[in-house]
Amino acid sequence: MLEIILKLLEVSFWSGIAAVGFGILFNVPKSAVITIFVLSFGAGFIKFLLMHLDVHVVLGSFLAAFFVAFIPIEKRIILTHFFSFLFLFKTDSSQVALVPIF
Amino acid sequence: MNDSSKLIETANLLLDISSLLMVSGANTNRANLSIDRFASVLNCKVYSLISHKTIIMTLTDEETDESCTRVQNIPPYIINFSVISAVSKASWNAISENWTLEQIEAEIERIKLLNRYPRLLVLFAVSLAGAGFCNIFNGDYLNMMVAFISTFMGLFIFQQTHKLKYNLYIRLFLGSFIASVTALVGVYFNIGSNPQTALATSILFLVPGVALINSFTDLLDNNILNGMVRFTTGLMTVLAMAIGLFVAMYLFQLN
Repeated sequence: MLEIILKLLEVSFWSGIAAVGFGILFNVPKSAVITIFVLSFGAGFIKFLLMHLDVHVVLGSFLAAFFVAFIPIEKRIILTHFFSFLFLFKTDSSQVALVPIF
Repeated sequence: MNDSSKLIETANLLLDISSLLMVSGANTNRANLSIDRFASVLNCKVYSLISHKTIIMTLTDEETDESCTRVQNIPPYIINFSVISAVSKASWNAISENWTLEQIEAEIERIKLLNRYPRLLVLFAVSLAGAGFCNIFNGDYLNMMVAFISTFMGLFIFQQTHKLKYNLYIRLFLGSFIASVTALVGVYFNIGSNPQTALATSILFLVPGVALINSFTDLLDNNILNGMVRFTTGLMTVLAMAIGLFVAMYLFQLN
C-alpha cells in the first residue's frame, strides 16, 4: 500500500515538474509557477490514482483536466479580474501532464 | 494634435496591442476583448477582422463620428504568456483608472520589454519536463537521463535554427530528428529498463499544445476561420515532428 502511494506521489511530482517546464517554455509569469506545479501535481495524482483503480484512461484524464480547470474557476469567482486571467495560463500549462503518448 | 491624427494614433496603438496578443498566443476572442476594453477607455468603437497573418481594424470616434481603417501584418508567433497576462491586467487598469492614450502607449511599451526566462533555464526546465514525462510513462532514472539529454539537444537545435531564421517546419523537423537520434542511441545500447519511453517522450516539447487549445477555443467562439488555421498549423507541426522521428527510426532500422 505504502509502495503504491509513494509511486503515485512520485509520478504526481514529475507531472508537476513537466508542467512547470512547459510553463517556463511559454514564459508564464514567475508568480504562476508554484500554482502550475500544484495544479499539475493534483491532476497527475487524480489521473494515476484513477488508472490504478482500473478507471479508463480517458475518464481519468477527463476528471484530472476537469480538476485543473475547476480550481481556477472557483478562484476566479472569488478573486478580482486582475488575477483571473493569470489562472488561464496555469490551466493551460498544468494540463500538459495529461498528454496521451501511449 | 488634431482629431484625425489622434484617431490614427489610437488605431495604430490598438493594432499594436492586438498584434502583440496574437503573436504571444492569445486566442482571437481574447484579442478582441482586450482591444474593446482599451477602445472603450479612449471613447472609440472598434470593428476588427483578425486573421492568422493580418489584422484589419476600423475605429470610430464616438464623439466626432470620424472613422479610420488600418491594416497591420502580424509578425511570426512567439508564445509568451507573461505578455498576455500583462496586457489583460493593463486593460482592466485602464478602465478602472481611466487611462489616457499616452498612459496606454507607455504601458504597452513596458510590456514589450518584459524579459523572457534565460535561455539556459528554459533548456534545463524543458529537459527536466521531458525527463518527467519519461518517469510518468514508466521510464526508470536511466531512461529519464536519456530523455533529458535528448530533449536538451532537440530544443537546443530548435532554438539555434530559430536564431538562423530557418522555416518553422524545417526547425521542427530538425528538433525532432536530433532529439530522436539522441534517444535512439539509448535504444540501440538498451540503456535503462524501457528505452522506448525515452524516445517517445524526447520530442514532446514540440507538441503544438497552444495552437490546438486556441484552435478549439476559437472554434467554440465561432471564429471558425482562425480555429481552422490554428488546427491546420497544429497538424503541420505534428507532421514535421513525425517526419523527424520517422527518419531517425529509419536510420536506426527500428520498427
